[in-house]
Amino acid sequence: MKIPQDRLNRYIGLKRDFAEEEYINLQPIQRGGILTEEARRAILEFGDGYSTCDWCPPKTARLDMITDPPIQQFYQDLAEFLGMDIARVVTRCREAKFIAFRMLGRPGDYVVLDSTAHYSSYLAADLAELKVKEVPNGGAPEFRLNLDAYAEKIEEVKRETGKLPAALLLTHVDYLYGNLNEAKVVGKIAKDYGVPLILNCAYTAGVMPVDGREVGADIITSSGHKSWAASAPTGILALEKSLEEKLLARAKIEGDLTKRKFGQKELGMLGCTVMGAPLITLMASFPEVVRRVERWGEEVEKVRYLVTELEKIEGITQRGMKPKMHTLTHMETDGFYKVSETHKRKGYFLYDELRARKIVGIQPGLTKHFKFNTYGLTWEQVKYVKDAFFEIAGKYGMKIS
Amino acid sequence: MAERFRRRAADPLHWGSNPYPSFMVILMALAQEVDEVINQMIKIDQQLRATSPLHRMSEEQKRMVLDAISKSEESLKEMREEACRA
Repeated sequence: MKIPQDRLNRYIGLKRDFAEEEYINLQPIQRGGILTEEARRAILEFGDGYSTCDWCPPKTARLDMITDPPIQQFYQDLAEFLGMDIARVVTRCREAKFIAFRMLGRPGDYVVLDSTAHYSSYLAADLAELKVKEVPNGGAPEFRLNLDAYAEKIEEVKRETGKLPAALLLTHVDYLYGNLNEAKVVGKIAKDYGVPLILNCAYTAGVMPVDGREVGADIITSSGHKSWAASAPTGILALEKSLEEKLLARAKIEGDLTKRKFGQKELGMLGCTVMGAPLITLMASFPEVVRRVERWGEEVEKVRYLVTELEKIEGITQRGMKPKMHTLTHMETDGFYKVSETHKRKGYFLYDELRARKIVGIQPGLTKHFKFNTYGLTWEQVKYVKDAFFEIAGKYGMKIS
Repeated sequence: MAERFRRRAADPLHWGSNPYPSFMVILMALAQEVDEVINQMIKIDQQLRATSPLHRMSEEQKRMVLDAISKSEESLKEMREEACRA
């Protein structure tokens, strides 16, 4: 089948509308994934297909055995950085959760998870043929999880099935309100019952300090493109040594005709996982990631400043727990919604006004509430965002206290 | 690039031979300068990202950008000479 040249031309000179060089991007899922200088260099060197696999050892042909570039060492450093024993890079955080569910549970088993978990946590459980039991949250305005309810839910599963759940999953910071959950509380419950705890650190590890051992996590999952200054797709699966046999079990299958076996390959990983550009950016950004988590306190200061300022605008309040402990933020913005009701562009007016001021990342059409993330912005950029919102509010006659 | 030369030199398959005729050495030097210019451009771009959208740079940031431009100019000059020799 021949594709006409004019259609092929669409793929030439691909450009992004919202270049980081031109705009301030507040997209909640994008701030932690912006590449470091070193990663941008590395991507040019290792962007070609299997370029990270030049020196793959023939006898143990596996990604985690490659020493040049230092993938093997990186996996060890990654585990150590997260306070875990073993780490693997997989395609996405959801993949890491699926692997954990699939290797820990049997079809029909339960997973106890928080009710603010990302949809992909549910889908990962579904694909692994597990059922879910949700831990409730307190609803508006804080949506605070009742972490002690993990124990109640474990008991519920025991009563229902006569056995323990396959795993507990806690979303360290949820994607909706940016609430930071006290993982230690659930870590203790997990230890008391002897059920492995999966801590989903998609929004935390890589931007703020996370120590799995300290909080009692048995498995940490994270997202390279969300929080580790890496290209997509990159996920992280880190685990305690005691779970190695289960999670990293080797393939046992044998060809009936050829008798071929693949005993070196890790079954859950389906052999090798992420190679090339995504992995190399994750590695190249790692030194800066190790440094930047130490600056987390300042990141929290910046978001608190912005929230305090924005709440001075009539009809704007922050949703989720206060004070902010994470840079992902949910704002309820009735004031802007009222403006949108009479504006000719309706809900799009706010997006238009922000874009005119070189700010993007607030979802087009939303005025009742929206999310943003200030991670990695300079103070000057944060103040610029505040000024832009004040200017827009002033333009439409909203009061600023 | 230098690392690749070292690896090549350490490879027993190439001992006692000169795997690179002179024109190849020239072209490899050219590639090295290309890398250098790209690196300097990335440095400049990082400053643009850090200061968007107003691009008000501190004295240090300005100095970094000017330094990167000077290094790129040197590399481009080298590249021109290498390309003429090739």
